[in-house]
Amino acid sequence: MNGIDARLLKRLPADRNGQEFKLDVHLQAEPGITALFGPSGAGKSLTLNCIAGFARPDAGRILVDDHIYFDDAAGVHLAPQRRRCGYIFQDHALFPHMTVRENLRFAVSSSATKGSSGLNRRRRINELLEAFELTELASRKPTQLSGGQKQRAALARILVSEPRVLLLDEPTRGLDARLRDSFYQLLKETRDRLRASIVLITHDTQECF
Amino acid sequence: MSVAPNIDWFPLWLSLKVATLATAFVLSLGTFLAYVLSHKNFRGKNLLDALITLPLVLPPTVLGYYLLVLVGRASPLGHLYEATFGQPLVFTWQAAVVAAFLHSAPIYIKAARAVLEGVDYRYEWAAHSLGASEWKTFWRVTLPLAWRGLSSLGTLSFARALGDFGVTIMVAGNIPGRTQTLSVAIYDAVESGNGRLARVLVLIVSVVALSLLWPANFVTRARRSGTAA
Repeated sequence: MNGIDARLLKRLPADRNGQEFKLDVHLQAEPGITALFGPSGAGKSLTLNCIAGFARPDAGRILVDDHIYFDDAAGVHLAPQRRRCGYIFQDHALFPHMTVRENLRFAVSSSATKGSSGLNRRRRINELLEAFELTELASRKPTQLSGGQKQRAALARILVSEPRVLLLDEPTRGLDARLRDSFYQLLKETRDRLRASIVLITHDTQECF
Repeated sequence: MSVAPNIDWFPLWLSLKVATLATAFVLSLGTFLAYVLSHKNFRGKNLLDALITLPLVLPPTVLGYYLLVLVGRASPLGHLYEATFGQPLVFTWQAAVVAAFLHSAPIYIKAARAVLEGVDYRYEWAAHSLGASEWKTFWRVTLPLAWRGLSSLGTLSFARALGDFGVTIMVAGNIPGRTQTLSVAIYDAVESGNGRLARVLVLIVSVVALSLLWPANFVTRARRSGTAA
């Protein structure tokens, strides 16, 4: 099956108020956009973190495009580096000490496509810079970009690494309506371009489409 | 030198050499340990942390005694060193490097751990999810983001490495022209009633330390205002 099939069970130790947290979720996402919404503290981010490999479930199984990412019965827990999960963080986490082009170059030289020739890599970076209207901004650092430009750069950086799935943790939080709309436009274009599963965390039911 | 004729400058050069080498070890080994402590969870982590802090609280004489036992000519480690380098470690200037390392490493490791923990983990996660190995992430993301903090800590480490006295005199001794560092030379000058020499050396140590600390302060302040912007 193409897409994500994740059964997760994870307990977090009791917090200061003595509240124990237990995540018990079965998530299936086909290619296309899937929205996860719900109140804070429901375990949405933890679910994405488990899929991306930043957190390890206590039990369950995670399949992405029929690749086993995690299976407690078989003792499989793939490192985040081998999962090809494009993860978009709330503030995009563009490396602040690198220019936009260097951010993309870092991604392409780390990714599964790193075996390709230098010429191919450069071409891929240029293509994506072009597609996301970043060519003029390629030599800027993230601090010199506007909110919308940062979004585009973060998506371009993810796509250059050819991910199997995209995981987005409240990518539009704190953005005004205009930027939010442009981001979702961009995401739809990305969906059409990538044909991968995109899982999106949001608090805003208006955003689901 | 007209200001201070008849002064033997060997202790100054030796101290600079010893502090430079010790700082190189502190920066490499210390940054590695700080990274392990800040990024890894393993059994015995608290014990390792306590062991690293121990030189801060133990009297220098105790540390020096341990070193004499650990790397003395009768110990296996001492034998190994002697077999490798053709001379024993104790009562050489190289032993002063070990002493200076012990003097400055604990503080560096503790502070560097805090600096590395201060690097936003999302940058490291982003690098990992893009496929970058832990090694590549460390060199290309974590270290550049922590660089300012670590380099000003490195300067402080150098200043501190210059100042060791207790462990140095225990394991390197006080051999003029061979193992006598600045702080040991000051002690020697005071003991032998050479007040003028003591005053000159004290002044030198103070000026060197101040000229290291002053710019290090600027770096930290620039970093703070940089984060606030």
